[in-house]
Amino acid sequence: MEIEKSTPLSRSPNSKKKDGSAFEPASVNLKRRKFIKNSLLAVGSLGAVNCFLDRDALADDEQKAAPLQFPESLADESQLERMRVELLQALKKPVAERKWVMVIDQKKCVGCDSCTVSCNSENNLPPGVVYRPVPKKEVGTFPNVAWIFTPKPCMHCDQPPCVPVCPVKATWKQEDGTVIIDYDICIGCRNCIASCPYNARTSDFGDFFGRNTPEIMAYETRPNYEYSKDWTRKPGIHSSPIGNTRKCTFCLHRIRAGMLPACVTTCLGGATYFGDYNNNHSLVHELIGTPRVKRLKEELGTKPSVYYLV
Amino acid sequence: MMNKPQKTILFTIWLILMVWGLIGVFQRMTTGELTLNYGSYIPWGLWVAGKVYFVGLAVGSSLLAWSIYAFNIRPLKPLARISLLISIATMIAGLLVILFDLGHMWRLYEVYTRPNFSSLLAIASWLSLIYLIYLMIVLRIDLKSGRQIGDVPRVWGWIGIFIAITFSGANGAEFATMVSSPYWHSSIGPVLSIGGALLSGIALVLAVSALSATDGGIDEQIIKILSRIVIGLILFVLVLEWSEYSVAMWYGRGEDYASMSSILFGHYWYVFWIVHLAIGSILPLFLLLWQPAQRLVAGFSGALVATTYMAVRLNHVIPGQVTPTMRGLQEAYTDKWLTFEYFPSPTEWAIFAFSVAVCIALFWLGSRILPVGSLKSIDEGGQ
Repeated sequence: MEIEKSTPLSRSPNSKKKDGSAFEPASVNLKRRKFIKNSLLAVGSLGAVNCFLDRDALADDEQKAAPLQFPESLADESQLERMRVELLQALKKPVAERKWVMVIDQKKCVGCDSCTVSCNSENNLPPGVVYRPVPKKEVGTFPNVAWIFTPKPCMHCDQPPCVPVCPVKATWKQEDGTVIIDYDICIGCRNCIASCPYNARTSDFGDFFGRNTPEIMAYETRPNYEYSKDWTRKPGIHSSPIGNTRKCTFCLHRIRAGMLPACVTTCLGGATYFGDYNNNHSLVHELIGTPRVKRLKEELGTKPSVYYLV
Repeated sequence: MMNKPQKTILFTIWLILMVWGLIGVFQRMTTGELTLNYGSYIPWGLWVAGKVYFVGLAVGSSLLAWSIYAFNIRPLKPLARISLLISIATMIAGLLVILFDLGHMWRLYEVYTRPNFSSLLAIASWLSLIYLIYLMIVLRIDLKSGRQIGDVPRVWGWIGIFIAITFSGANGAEFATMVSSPYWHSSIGPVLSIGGALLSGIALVLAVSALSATDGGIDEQIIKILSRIVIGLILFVLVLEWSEYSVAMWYGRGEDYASMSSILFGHYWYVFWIVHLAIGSILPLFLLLWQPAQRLVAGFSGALVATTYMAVRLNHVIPGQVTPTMRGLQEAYTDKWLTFEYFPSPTEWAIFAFSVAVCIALFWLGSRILPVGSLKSIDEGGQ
């Protein structure tokens, strides 16, 4: 038989390999055959048992599987979808009837800085300007140590210290709760920066990442769309927002387009929530009604619109 | 009395300041804010401290004039015009240095066209303009009153006192009302602002009037009185400072403890202990107690107090910003503009030098053009 011929074990014990070396004696071959046979039987038996076991497990899972259990990440995506739907609902209301708030779950935050990065990218932020840093604090002593991450956007305070100090009314609180800046009016005195107890405001000093290099890359001169306007920074041209105070806007330009703020959609741990506090059934309203909630520096009476779940 | 070599030396110093300053102005105008060392976490630096300093000098020196008018202090009347001239020159220097601090300096007019009067900065800006105009008006009234210096109706003095105290208080309150900084947020701030203004301003008048030879208007008796006023003010300000520092430091706790510690024992400890306390307070105190009527000693002492008071202004403005509002903030996002450490850049020093040079030039021109009386002198070595 063709197959047998081609099998080394079928060869004559006295036959030689092409290179002249002798094959093993017949007794060795017999032992090997027996060993292989037994091994195959053992493996086959185990496989069959395993197959039955798997089927049992699957049957159990099927019984337990209704309704379907999504992995944690998908559950978070459903939260994103819920927030997006609630955002669209809020946009249908008059502006004065909305109140945008943000909730940050510090137990979920993993300190990945993806919110910082997405914010920088969304708003095309230059050097020296940051809207959402994530201060990291180590607590405890070895071996009992932990990190606390506190993403820190503008607090959009209900009693903002930065608003009354502006000498030219370039910053104010809107009816929807956001605190904004008019870049065309701001004189760049930085009084609001000095007055903010959260260090949430930064100044645009006109710097570029590519300064002192042969070329300013194109991404640095593409516009950002803060406040739904086209703001383009150009090296050597001193026009707003260069020279202005800048801060987190809760991504108002995205909200107006029905999108959640960039930091919310990119949060790796699903730790950032956003929505309309005036909607009693909204996710943020639910979260703010839990005992874990707190706000930063509440003793100052600034009443921030950013809540933390600790 | 000033001889030619002395005048040459002074002129050379002024010229260096002016040239250095013009280089700074050029840099500021061509590179914007890129060559500056303040940032987003320490947004106020040398220039803001400089503005507070110059405005303090202006208020203090003019308060002397207002008091002379309001209380009709005859022995000090020869000082009235020169005090107002010093006040005008320093006020303009203060406005100049703060102009360069603005991110959009050409929008300064907006403070006057669309002011927000809940802002102490807006109030202070308006008061600075009003005060400057008022100073010019009263100086003109004094100059028009004939040969007698200080012959101005009392009411001008009373109004001047009111505006000066309001203005200086507003400048102090600009910091004291800020909840962001426990160090600034102090009820003693406005009082210390007025006290510091009086001390530095009157010390400057003492320095100028004692060191410049006069045409007889300012005699040793006046120098002696001024010296005693400065002695009293040094002690008054030291008591205020003791109150401020001891309350914060006594038990070593509290939110402003960190800022106070940085002033007293931090990287720039010498600014407080050496520049302000030793050279700017204790040394002139002893000198003035020792020789209150000796022109050179009194003038030198006044100059020490007046110039080193800039250290106090720096120690008020900068340490109020060096403590992060949250642990880990500085490490959260590292950047040249996002640090809690600050030392003025060469451009900042240059602009400050420019303001000083402009101030000196204005005063010199004013004393040449206007018959401020007692100052015939500075360039002519009057007898």
